[in-house]
Amino acid sequence: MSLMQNKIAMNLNFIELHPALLVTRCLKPFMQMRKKITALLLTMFLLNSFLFAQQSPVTGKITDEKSNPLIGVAVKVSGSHTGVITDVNGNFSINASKGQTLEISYVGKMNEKVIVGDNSLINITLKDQTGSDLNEVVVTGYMTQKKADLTGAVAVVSAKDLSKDHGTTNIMQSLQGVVPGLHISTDGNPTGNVDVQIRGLTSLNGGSPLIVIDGVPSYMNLRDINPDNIASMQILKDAYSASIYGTQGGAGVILIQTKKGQAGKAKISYDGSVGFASWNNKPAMLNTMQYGQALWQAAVNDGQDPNAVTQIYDYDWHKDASGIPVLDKATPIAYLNADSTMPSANTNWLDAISQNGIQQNHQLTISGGNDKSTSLLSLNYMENQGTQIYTGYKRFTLRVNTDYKVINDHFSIGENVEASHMLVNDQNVMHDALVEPPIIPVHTTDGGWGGSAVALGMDDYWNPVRELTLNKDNGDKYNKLYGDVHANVYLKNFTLHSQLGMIYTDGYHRNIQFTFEEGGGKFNPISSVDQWYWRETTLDLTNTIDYKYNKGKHNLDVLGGMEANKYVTETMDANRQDIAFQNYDYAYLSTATGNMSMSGGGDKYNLMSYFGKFNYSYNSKYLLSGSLRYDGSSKFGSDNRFALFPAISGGWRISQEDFLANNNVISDLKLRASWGKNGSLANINSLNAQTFFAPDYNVTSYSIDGSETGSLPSGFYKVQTGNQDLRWEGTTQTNIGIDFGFFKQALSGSLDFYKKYTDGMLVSPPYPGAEGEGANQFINAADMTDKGVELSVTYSSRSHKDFNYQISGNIAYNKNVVDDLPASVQYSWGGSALKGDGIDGHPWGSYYGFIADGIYQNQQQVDAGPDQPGKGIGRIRYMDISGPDGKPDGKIDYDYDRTWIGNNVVIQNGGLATVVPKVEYGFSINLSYKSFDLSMSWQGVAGIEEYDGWKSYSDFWNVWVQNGFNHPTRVLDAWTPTNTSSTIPALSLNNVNDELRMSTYLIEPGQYLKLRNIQLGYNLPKSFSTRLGMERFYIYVVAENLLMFKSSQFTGPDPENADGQSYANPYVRPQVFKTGIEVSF
Amino acid sequence: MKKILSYILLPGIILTIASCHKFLDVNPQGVVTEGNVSTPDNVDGLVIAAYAWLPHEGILNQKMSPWLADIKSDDSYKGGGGIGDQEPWYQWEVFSLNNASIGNNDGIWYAEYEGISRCNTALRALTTLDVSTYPDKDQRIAEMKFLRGYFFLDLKRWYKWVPYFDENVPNDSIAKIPNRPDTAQSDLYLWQNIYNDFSAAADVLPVTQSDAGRPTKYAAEGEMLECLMWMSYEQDLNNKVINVNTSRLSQALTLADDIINSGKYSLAPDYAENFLYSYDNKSPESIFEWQYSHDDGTPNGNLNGGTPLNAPWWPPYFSCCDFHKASYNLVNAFKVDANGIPEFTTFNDEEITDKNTYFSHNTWDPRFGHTVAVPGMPWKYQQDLLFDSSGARDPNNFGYMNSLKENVESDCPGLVNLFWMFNSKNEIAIRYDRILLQKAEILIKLNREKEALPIINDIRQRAANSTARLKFANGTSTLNYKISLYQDGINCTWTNAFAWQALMWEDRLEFAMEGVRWYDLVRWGIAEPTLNAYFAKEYPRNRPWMKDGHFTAGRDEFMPIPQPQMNYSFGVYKQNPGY
Repeated sequence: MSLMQNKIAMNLNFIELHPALLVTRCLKPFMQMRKKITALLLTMFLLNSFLFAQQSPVTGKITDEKSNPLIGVAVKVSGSHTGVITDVNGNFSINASKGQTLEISYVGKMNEKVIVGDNSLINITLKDQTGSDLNEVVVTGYMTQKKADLTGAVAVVSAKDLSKDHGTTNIMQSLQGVVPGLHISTDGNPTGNVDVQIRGLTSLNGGSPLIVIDGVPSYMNLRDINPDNIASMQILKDAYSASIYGTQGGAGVILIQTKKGQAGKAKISYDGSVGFASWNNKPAMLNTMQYGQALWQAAVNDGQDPNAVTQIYDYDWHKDASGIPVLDKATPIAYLNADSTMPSANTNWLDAISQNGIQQNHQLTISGGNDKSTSLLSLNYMENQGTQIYTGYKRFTLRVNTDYKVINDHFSIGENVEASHMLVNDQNVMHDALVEPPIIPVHTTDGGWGGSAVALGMDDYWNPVRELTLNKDNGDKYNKLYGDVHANVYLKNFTLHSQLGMIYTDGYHRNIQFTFEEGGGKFNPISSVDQWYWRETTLDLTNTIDYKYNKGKHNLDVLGGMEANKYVTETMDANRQDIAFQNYDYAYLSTATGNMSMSGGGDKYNLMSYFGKFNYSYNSKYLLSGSLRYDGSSKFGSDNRFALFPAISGGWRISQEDFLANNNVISDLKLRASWGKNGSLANINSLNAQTFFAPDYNVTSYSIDGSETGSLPSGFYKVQTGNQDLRWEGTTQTNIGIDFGFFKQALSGSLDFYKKYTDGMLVSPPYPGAEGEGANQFINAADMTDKGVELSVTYSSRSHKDFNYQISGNIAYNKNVVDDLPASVQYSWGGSALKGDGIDGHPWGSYYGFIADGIYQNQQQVDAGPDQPGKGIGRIRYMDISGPDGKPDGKIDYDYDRTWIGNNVVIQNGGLATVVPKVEYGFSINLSYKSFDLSMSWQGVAGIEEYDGWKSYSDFWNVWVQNGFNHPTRVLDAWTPTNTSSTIPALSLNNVNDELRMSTYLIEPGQYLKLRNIQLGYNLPKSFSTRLGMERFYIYVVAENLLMFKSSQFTGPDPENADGQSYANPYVRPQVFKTGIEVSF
Repeated sequence: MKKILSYILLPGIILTIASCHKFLDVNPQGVVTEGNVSTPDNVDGLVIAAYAWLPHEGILNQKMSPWLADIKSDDSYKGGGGIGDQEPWYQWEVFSLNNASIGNNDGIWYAEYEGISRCNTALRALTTLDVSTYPDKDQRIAEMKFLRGYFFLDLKRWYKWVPYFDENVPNDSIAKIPNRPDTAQSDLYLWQNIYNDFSAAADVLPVTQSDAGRPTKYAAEGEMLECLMWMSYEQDLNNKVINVNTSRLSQALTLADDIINSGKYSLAPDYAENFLYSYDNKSPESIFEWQYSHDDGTPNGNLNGGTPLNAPWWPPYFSCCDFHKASYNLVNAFKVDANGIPEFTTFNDEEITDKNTYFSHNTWDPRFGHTVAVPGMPWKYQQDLLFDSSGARDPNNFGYMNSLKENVESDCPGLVNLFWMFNSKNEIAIRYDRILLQKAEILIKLNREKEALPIINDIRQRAANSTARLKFANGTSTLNYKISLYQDGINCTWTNAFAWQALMWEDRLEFAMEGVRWYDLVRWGIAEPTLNAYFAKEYPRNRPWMKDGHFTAGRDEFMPIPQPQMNYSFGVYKQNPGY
């Protein structure tokens, strides 16, 4: 295809995709009218400028509290769109008439309002922003509102909180404990894996909050965004706030505004930090001699001859006078392989895979403009190496934000664009490193790889250093381009807003699977190359019209709009075996010569919405807001395509009442309540409603003619049974809140109570196998409730002395209960049909298992204990809690003796489980003395019982399938006839008592308190920095995760990353130490 | 101005709402509907998908691979990396720990019905087509009935009581079909349904097929014969064999004769040819064969998903996973006396104290060399590759004897190393020697044991002829092989009782490690005494995990209906007795 054809094809494609054009096509009869409209709009602009002709210029100077001129302060005439910016000397000049109000706003300062009087010179001093600023403008869905007028539960992440981020991969990682009700789970993987839940759990299908960046909605991975470009974030928690996003808002909404250019002279700033991440809570592992000792113990415990169970150690041992075996000497075998290239070693595999991961972040920002246009350009490079060798994440980003005002400020147009390139190597070999026996050397003496001595009976392990090293250049790369083009038309009280957003991502890799041979016999004989390409595009068109009305005590803001959203994705993956030269310069699909496999697919869905919203306040005392959204999605069944989502809220600013008018204590008191309905379609895919068959060569081909090789005939199989009634998951939420401020807002905060009810959660119930392939069907069935309380309080000192401080804290409590499940899935998530105790009434994801009742100490106890296959001395005794007659039956069985043992929400996220605590809290302290500042933020969780996957490795010799794992040193303290006080069961080569079964033995209290961030900074005095030509020079040192307090009953390394099931152990969060500077010119 | 705005905006919004719903009509990507594929052009795709079902199933919790039945018999131990490696198999191997909630049980039920649903989907589509546009209609219907019968037969032998339905039962009624109706006095109606499918297939299928993978008339008759063999040993509701129905046996005899007299099949000159990759579709003994392939455009090939765990733990030749190990009992059963006749009563008395003495001082049925891999002897006829004890993964529990029949040579082109050792060797599902021995069994049960004698001797003669591949590189025999024909009055007295014993023995050795033994034990009603005797003797032979080995008659003949199926049926299904 020639370039030209390509271009045409692309254009055609665009016409297809562009919802704006689609709308236009629908409006064919109105095409003619469009021209008329344009003419009309122009006329109106002219008219408007005429109307304000009698205004005269008002001038003035704006300074800070130390009389320094403030540059780039926005000065605006209230209710109009006339605005200017102060110049380098802090001076401004604006056209305004007497009686009009000037609004003055500047980042980090309290907003001011001044009524223009007779004097045409107005000098204003802006105070530093401390505590909460009720005049702060908060972005809510499609609109903005003053904080004082908010009636929903909206959390604002302050610039201060955001500034604590110094090169974290994912902005959410630096927000742990900052916003009550926002639960962020993450691990130590440098690639920034994050799971975010707002107010408990919205759906049993997970449900991530909607991310709206500069007005463009998506479920984007926030890892892809450069945190340094974020100016502010709002978390919409209650249904009123989020329901304007309809089917997308069910799990809450996170609004992000990127930094915009500031008018004034061009300002160049550089923020940079370097440091390293280190793994501080490594479990102590058995060394070679300890391993031999534990293995011996396991063998003698089982009554087996230790020398018969291993070929790797030679034991001298005897039984003492009372018949208790005693180990005299354990001698490891000299060489682990026949070639004698693997001498017995003493490898600490956790050390062998670890490194201090270098972290660096460099941000260069150039911003400037005048009252007609502003622009911001930023460049960023970030690299986070992991604490496992060769793992890491790199990101390059470029952002351009510009805004232009044309035709006398009646029309503005602008764009926000960020382009990024990311490289991800997210290997995690924690499991391999935990289980690889220490006797294996990393390398053979001839420079090859050491590895499991298979011929000596070692099981199936991989050398984790080899894994990391061979795959160091494998990994995924992503390119992302996202942003929007927007235009606003201001017509007296009307604002017309139109925005076309786009999020484009592509991902690719060319990975080599290398052949290798480990010294112990493990090998991979097949090399291959894998080329993968993926892309996805979201186009979003939003048109709104906003009407503001102020008269007397009435203040009304009404908005109407429509939004069309189109999503397309395609992927292709091909793999071919046998590459003659295993390097990246050679290895492509076409240079490989062996078997090839290819796959590819795609998905499309559209969303079409209409919405309206109003905010009304009477005398700044009584507030009322309402919204309505009508959403249609192609994902839903044809019988249930559209839905209406209403919400309403009200507020009463008691502090504005006359009886509190002269009160010196209470500066703000607002009671607010909201109710609304939301939907969620995040976890519903575009095929969920359909009955369909699919061809799949890998599933439906067969060599019917008996040929051994060559292409085969293939067919179709049924994938799913459709459901034309399928719809969104619904969320109804009621919120009651109080905002308070005392002593001129020195002490301020808010308290919220909520109840969130999700109904019609999507489930695909199990069905009798006899119904056959593709009988699975999605239905809307399960219901769930979250109830909670959130409190946040901030106290700021208001002195203007050398020493200032601010303390803020928050705490949230959430209780989740599964209310109702269809009978078909009653016991799908635990519970016994025979006992009738399904998960309903318990939090989603609760554990169902046995109660471990200590350890059998002697034969009498064993004989007296209930019938339990595999029971014995030193083994865990499980509790006989019930039987067929509803009372203990002297028999431990799966039907009657399990119960609900952990009462927390657990979300399975990419193979690892995330436990949502009942209580989460955070507090931060910011101190400043002269040019120094110190800040720290703490975060903690409580009310949490979690499955400690590490314990299955640290407390047993063998409960997993494979034999001969290495273990943390806890196993050395296991029960023996001479160590009867131990709570760790006796070591055994076999797991006859099935001790990996879910039981309270593996459930541990997971509360912790962590010092997430502590930072000490120094601001070079202005006199110095000016001499150096700098406006600001700030230097800091910061440490992350410096301290942790946990329950002594938690035996693993870190309760935050406790899970370790399914042969995958988590990447524990490291400590990070960094130093950095912030300079601006 | 407000008016002007409303003039512009309101109609716009209304029109957008009215006409742009089609913006939401987005076609699903990359899929088709049942209507799309139920056409003459595409219906072959549904038929092929039905054939493809079984080969694509994996061994863990899916496929009812024949060898899984062996671990319930006295032929084989589970093997693998300890008793915890696929623990459910250990639990059903010792019986006493088996229960309805056990793992790796539900999957088999579930998967077999998936195969059945593919057949039913194809059948529904086929019946709507007209012969004028789709000439193969009747043939393909017969093939689908054969496959459906095959899958139901697997289910029936394993679970006994299963819900039966055909393609005419709508999907939403299937859940209402009981596995064991209250009115059922026996399971014969289930057998009859399965038999009918095979019978309908036999009526239409040709005697030869140009496609090697499609069943012939004789394949269908072979399965009819298998059904009748089960139906002849009538069980009561407690799985006890209460009657041997001679009229069904006579009916079965007709079928066996029909196959034998067709002259299409003969015993392969060498027994090995039934178990060699290079003889795929070439054994004269093969009546129906599952086709496996490699280098076929799929990532790794359409490989036998049932056997990847069964290669030894023996780098660099095989990496995984040492499942399906010959029991001590089975190895002993291959010994013959000085006359080349089985040691019917004393075979299991000998203990292996010294491996070398044990193997060199005994005399062996040649089929042993084809069935069991012994350290020190060639692996799968590879004279240049002697198997060794390092191939045993957990010898303390499972010993050193690997299974050979399902495995391939280390240099086999069909061997695919995905750590799990897959191979594309075909699996002969219906074999002529089985038909012959079934005929012998019928004759003995009909008190015509004299006529059975030459059949059994044919089988033994062929075994005697099958020693050419059992040699070391220097040409010496790997063991002392000897096997004699039964000569009435010379080396035996061919009474009915003796003949029955000889037949049972012949069946065990001829089909050892092929998943036949277990079903024979259940069919004949002798599982309980056989297995309890086996456990008693085997446990002290350093098989500590057999401590829990105990067979309970009236329960352990069949697997429990998987607990999930019990739950999802909401009382429609009845659990098998004893569970």
